[in-house]
Amino acid sequence: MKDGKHLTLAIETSCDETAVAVLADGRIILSNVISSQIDVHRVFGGVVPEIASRHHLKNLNLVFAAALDEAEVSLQEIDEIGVAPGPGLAGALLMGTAFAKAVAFAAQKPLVAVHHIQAHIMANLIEHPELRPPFMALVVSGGHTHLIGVEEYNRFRIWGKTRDDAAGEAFDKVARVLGLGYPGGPRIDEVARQGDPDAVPFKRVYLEKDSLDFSFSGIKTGVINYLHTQKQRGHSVNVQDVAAGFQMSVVDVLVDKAAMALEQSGYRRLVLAGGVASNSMLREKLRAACKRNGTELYIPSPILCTDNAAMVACAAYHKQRLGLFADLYLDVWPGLSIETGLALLDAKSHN
Amino acid sequence: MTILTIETTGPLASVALIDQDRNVLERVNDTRYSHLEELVPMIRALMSEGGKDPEDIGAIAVSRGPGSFTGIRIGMTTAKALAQVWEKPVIEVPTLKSFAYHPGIAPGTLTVPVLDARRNQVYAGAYRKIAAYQDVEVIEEKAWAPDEFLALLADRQRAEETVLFCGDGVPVYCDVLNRYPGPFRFSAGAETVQRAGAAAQLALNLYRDGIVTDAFRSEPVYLRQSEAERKLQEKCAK
Ligand SMILES: [Zn+2]
Repeated sequence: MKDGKHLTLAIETSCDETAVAVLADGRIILSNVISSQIDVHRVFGGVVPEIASRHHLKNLNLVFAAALDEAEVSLQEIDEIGVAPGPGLAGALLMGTAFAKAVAFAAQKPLVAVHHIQAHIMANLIEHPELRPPFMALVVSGGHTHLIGVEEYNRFRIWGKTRDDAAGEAFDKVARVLGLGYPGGPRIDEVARQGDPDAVPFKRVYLEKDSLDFSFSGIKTGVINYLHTQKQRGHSVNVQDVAAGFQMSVVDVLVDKAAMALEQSGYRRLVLAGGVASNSMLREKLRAACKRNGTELYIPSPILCTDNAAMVACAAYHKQRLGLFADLYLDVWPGLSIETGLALLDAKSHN
Repeated sequence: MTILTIETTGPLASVALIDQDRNVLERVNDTRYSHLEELVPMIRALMSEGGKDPEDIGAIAVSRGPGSFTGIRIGMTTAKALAQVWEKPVIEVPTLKSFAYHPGIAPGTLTVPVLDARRNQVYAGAYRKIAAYQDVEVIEEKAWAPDEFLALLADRQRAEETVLFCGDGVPVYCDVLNRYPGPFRFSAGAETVQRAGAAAQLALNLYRDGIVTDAFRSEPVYLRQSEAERKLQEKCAK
């Protein structure tokens, strides 16, 4: 507590960002420090788990100190330590979780474990204090494509999810075959702006009627086949058009399924979450769709869409209000699903 | 003054407190590879058993590798976090050398820790124990090809000495080790694996010699780059 404000410090290391944040009253960002390793992994064309883990170890102390410094608070004034022990890369998760446990013990603070995806969704509450459950969340990132109904602060229902690749994974794969480099999402977004999305159409996969599930594994093959055919025919390839066509086909499915989920659930509010939430075409099309059917749409600013610790702090703040704490035996859960994950994290109570 | 020592580089996680008179209080986790879950609760239990508060701790020592990459990092991260919050110095304990400080190993023994480094290599070194809490390095720590290492060891072993092979690489490379020409035996007791109690004795030496660092500068020693870096280098060298 400082000046009557409740302070949450959180740590996030699920992939290649080392992040620590301090949040006041669950929505005022006092600091949100992110040390990105993108440049380290670029030469490898993707995140290398062992290297990510080594860098987390190297960075954590500095990022932690910077977060407290920038927030102008002392560790003693912090009310609880939040961390996301899953899902994510095992070795990377280990670093943040080990650090959080040691800090919680050393400073005698309660520990709160939150689901990484829950944190992505809760990021919306930081900038929109008026937003309250129930609402629908479209989560799109490198590891996830989910439609999740947030019934209460800590009660979620899965309405749909990908059966194979995540949308972000499809972006990375297609960026690679198009030679656009890493990270794929922002590169495709950029290149697609110069392209015509209708010039090269790709198949939109909707699965069974009324299904809210996704499938993105076929689209990379679609792009490869197209490139191959063009080459065989001796035709040149317009990379901008291909990127735009691919992006549009993914975005169309995401937007349509989100609209279906709203209809089926009866919710009037939609939030967007996850790294792919920064995609400009997705934002634009969702805005248009929500305007059409009178849905309130919430999109976090880009800094809160990437992996960051402010979102973890926000989720931790809401969990501690419900009395949900983790204990010092907390382990990591690389494959933690949101269905069972919440219960697992709170299986043991603090002390 | 008490030093808190953390050892998570091997199959068993352990923690120890050591005082100026070399009295050691140690806790060992008997569940293999659940280091993350158990480490902080073990430290909490150890400190309460020893009646120690953070103010009583003069430094945090940590076994800095080589060993399991993941294990090294769990210990290092925990040690660095504790050191930062409690504002204590950090002592980086060389893991292989610490084997020579097992209480069960008699002075005069040439202690040879051998850890499995995969890819037909071992992390190994050789340390002549010359007194209860003193050693002389005979072969430096490195990722060695077993044959190359053993040839060097045979060269440097003294006639009156017995080699003691210890560490998790022993069962993996026992065929190769069994062909070793000099007098040797395999460890059988606590000295078979890395332990915080032994690391704590070496940590106290380092502390007295002023060989300490802090939460921000302390670093692990992997003795090897990641696979991805190795492959990239091979590719670039072509
Ligand atoms: Zn994420």
